[in-house]
Amino acid sequence: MSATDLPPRPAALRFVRGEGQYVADVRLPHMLHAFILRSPEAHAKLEAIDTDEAASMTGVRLLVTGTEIAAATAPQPIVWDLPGQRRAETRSLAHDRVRYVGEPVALIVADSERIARRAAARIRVRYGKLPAVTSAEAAEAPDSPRLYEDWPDNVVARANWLVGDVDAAFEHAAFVTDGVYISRRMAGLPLEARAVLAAPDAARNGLTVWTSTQAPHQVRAAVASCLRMPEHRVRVIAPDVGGAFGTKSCVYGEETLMAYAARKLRRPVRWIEDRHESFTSSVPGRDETVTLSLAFDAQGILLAMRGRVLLNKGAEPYAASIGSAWTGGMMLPGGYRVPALAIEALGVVTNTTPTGAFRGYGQPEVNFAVESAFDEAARRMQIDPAELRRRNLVRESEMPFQSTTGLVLDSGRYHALLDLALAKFGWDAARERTARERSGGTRSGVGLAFYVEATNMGPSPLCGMVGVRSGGFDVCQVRVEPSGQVSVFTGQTPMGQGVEAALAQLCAEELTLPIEDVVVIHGDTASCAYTGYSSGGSRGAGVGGSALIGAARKVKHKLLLLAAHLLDANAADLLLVQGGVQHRDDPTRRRSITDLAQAAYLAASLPAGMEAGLDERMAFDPPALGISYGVALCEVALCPDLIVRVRRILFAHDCGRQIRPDIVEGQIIGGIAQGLGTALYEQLLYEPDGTPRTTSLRDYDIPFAADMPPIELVHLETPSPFFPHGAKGVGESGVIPIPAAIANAVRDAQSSGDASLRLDTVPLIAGLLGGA
Amino acid sequence: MRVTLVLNGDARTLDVDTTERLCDTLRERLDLTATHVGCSEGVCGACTILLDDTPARACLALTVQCDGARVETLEGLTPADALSPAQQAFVQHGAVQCGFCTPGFLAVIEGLRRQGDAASWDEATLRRELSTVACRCTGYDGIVRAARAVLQPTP
Amino acid sequence: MEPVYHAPGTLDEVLALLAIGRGEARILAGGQTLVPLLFRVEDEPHTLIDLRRIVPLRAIDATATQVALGAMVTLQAAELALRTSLPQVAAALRCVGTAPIRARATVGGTAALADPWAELVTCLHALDAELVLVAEGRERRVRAIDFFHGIRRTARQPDELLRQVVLPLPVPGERHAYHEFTVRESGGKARALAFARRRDGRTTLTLAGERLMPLRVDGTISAAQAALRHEDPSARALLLRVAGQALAMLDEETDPCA
Ligand SMILES: Cc1cc2nc3c(=O)[nH]c(=O)nc-3n(C[C@H](O)[C@H](O)[C@H](O)COP(=O)(O)OP(=O)(O)OC[C@H]3O[C@@H](n4cnc5c(N)ncnc54)[C@H](O)[C@@H]3O)c2cc1C
Ligand code: FES
Ligand code: FES
Repeated sequence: MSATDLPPRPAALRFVRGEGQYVADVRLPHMLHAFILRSPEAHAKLEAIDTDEAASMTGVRLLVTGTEIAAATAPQPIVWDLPGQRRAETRSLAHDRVRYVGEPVALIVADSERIARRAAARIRVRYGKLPAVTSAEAAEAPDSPRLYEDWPDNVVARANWLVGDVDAAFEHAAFVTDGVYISRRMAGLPLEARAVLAAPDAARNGLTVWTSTQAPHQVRAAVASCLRMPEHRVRVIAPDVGGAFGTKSCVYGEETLMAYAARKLRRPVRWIEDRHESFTSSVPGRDETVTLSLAFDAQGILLAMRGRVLLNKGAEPYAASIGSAWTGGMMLPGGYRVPALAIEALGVVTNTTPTGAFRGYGQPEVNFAVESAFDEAARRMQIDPAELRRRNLVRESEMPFQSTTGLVLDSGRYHALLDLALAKFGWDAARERTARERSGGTRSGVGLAFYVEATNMGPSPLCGMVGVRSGGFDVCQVRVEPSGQVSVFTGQTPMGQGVEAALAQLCAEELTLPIEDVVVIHGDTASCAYTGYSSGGSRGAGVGGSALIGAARKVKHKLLLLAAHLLDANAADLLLVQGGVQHRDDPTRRRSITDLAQAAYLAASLPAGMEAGLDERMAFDPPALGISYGVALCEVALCPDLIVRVRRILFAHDCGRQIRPDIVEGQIIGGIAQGLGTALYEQLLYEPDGTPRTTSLRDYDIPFAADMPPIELVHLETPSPFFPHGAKGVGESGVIPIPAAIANAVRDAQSSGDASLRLDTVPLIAGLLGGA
Repeated sequence: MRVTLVLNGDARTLDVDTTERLCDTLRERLDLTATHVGCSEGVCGACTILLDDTPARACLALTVQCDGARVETLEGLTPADALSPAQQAFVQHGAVQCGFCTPGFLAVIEGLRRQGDAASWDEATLRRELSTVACRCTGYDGIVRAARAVLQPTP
Repeated sequence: MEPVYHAPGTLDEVLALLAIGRGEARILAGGQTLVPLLFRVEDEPHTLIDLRRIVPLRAIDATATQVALGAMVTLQAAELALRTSLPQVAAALRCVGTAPIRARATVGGTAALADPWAELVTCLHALDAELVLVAEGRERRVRAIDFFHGIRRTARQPDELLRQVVLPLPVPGERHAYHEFTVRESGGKARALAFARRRDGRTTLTLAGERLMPLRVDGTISAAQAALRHEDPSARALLLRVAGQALAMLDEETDPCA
């Protein structure tokens, strides 16, 4: 089915009419407006705050500082708590100390945002400067300034993987590569920045909080715990979400703050993040240094790996903690056989905005390291880089394959996909052509990177084992309404990826209904199924979809039993076809789903023991992760007027069964765009004193339409054995291999050129311009 | 301050604050929330509307500056109970994910359509002209396809 | 307090308002830079003087030797007007922001702002343009080199209005080449800008960057190197690269001034 033949996504039909409803579009009577005063200092004692003048301004309704918040609220929760992890009692407003530029210092609520901003300008804060540290490397040093006085150093947590005799393997290796690969800090930058609206909710004697989030249930837990309220008094609604990319996967202090203010004032209070502040107030991602050594034998077979993933966690352990470093550590072997390895993953605090999730979550960082190292090894061995991958990738016959860090590669045809991609790209021809161009003076080259993506986040036992404090399951409820159409209640939260359309489609398929007969309801803790983890980790269609299939199959089972009763037939002889149940031998003996739904709700004549109604739910906990994989190939040229011109990209991948190919395509190409930004120019830099250098979209370059090269996609569908629909996730695939593929192509283009250029840091702009 | 705008075809006289931006008047005063605000500094283009037929940033204009001007928002470009050809093309070509950038692109494309010289543009020119609005979700391929379908229809 | 808004119909009224404003009055031109500052309350003037109704400020007057752009000429209109007479300046203006920005941003606003990475500022500098400043009862013409004092600092007095910029047209045989570096194909803020000019056999190079106001040197790389020795290494490397590119363009077959 080509993308254009698919039924349109209902959300798209609304969005093109401008009828989306994002948090900032929600207006309530008597609504007040909040502004947050943030620290201009990277590290300082909060010596005094004078709010008198601001508080006396007309239109100012509330002014809150950290002292009040520290007394009135509990600390923000930590969602990922690794064994041995250090703690910090982080509140939604700083008290005693500020640890990064942008840390909230005071909340002002007023009749208009403008009044609140003006009042903020009249708050006087005395800061006692402390020495700041901004890089993870510096923060690790014994003499580094400390962020938390009760910690022995700046390390938040660490994890290790040790398998086999790594030292012996390196000793006997024919080729060894050593490298330090840096992925700089970047912004997720959903086009809709964050926004929170909290309002008293008299009916539940509590609160309703609208927030632009990927995880409504986690926000509910956080707000309830911080305000010391029971969870049933808090309702969280995630309306339309204008992009998220991990930035909106954690809970934020602003959610607590608005809830606090709404309760105190007994009025709705709204905060809309300004793009300027978002550069220091929303969690950025990456900022990891991967130190990697690979040992190969003379045939190019990988013998061992030594790796260290160092994450700059920013100023607070916060939210997902060092999860991206941990994930990177676990994913370092990728799709390769690695007999022995020694890996350490750790995160350290620095005086910068706390880092969090961003699409890829540790995987692009380690992929950049491993795939760069493979190319380096191939160059030294003088073999085709594709061939070196071929020799080390896990074979189809070995699946499911337990990789050395414990990750199970569930299914896949790695070699077949690699060969297909090389053929479609014309790899050999392109290598020859660019080599000719190079001898003619044009610096062009080709590069590739193989990747695996851990998707369908879950198994709850795995989450529990590594300290993730939320279950990895997903719940779905399928309710056939009396009129015969279906409402699906999911715990998944669409943020543009279209998961609601995939769910609608799966439900329509299971129940043989037209897709118009299915409505998917999401993003409201009052009506939707409880899901701990929600949307993130590329699990929407995989895990959420599996839960849906489970619930829909229960509905189907009940439909068959009910029809058997009404048709006086044996359920085993009945089939669900085209929206009705009929006898396999006599299609005229048939009851439509509408008839059956009416019978179920009238309940006048039900089979003995059957419950009235037609409403089923299922909690699905994935038995394992689904490992998607693929390879990106690209061709670049280095031009005098631009750093890198990417001529074309071919992206070949396998994410199991594709429920909606159009969504898969959108996810991949959107991911490639962010991968291109990562590879070439997106970065958030700090001055040595902790002052951020990028606080405006004018200074943060993201790709626009003209910056994207022609992209060709190649799909393979190898169903995962662990999910009823065979689907794996694809949300992060696009972004993972692009930095390495582009860097490898640039290295190829540079092979006869200036060897002094540093290409082991992304974005490449840093090394290519010469100097920092 | 009292201003008069010809808003989506209707003359509207409003009292606004001096520092009120056009996007604030539209969204907060008139509840026309199709105009999105993504950066407040002119870069992202989510707030793009048509000001006297020309795409302009609603976050960079004070409403008082627009006194007497014709302002068109996506609400005005949307037929009552159908989709415009551009809207249809967006749905059909996978140009919409989260929808936050969509109103900006539709305004820009409508501006280019009225300007009328897009028919002969090559891919690079079309992409350059569309590079006035940012999309963080789609990677642009769907948007470019949809724009081509509208601006360069094959008979 | 909300500022008091005026949209006067004559230049005299503007100058009178500026005179009583004592630095607390702000001129509003295209608003493309000022509006975000007002929104974020980073600028809170008492008075806003909108120039949109002053028609003469939109005039473009060309003679055989010069072209005068009124302060309210948009960058888009300026680009169109200069395409044949000063094509490299037009090329530079096409690099400004995006079309919706160029349609509203003005010549006067851009010059008055004096951002180091503004294309127009580099062009005015490179071409020895003059800026006309008026206040109640006085008017003066200032050479670009004397007008731009530093990053966002100019010779303009608080009661003065920048009325016009005057660009000299090329003499026979004069050649120009403009080049800038942006990290993206689609453009964005220029990280380095260079304008090369050869007139009467003498070549000059005007260089500017993210944090460097235009600097005019003799038209050789070694002169640029010497002048940039205080810049940080990566900024210097980039500026030199852009300078080299502009100088190379100057010698290309097709006359960029033609
Ligand atoms: C997204 C974006 C991208 C941009 N990219 C570029 C770029 O690449 N290159 C570039 O050069 N510029 C760029 N700009 C800046 C844009 O060109 C400007 O906003 C402009 O330079 C200022 O012009 P304006 O007419 O908008 O002035 P305004 O914003 O109205 O005013 C700016 C300042 O100048 C003062 N002022 C205005 N006119 C006069 C006058 N006649 N006399 C005295 N003072 C006056 C005002 O009081 C104010 O302080 C960009 C802007 C945006 C929003
Ligand atoms: S909100 Fe106006 S351009 Fe981004
Ligand atoms: S669809 Fe989300 S920003 Fe474009």
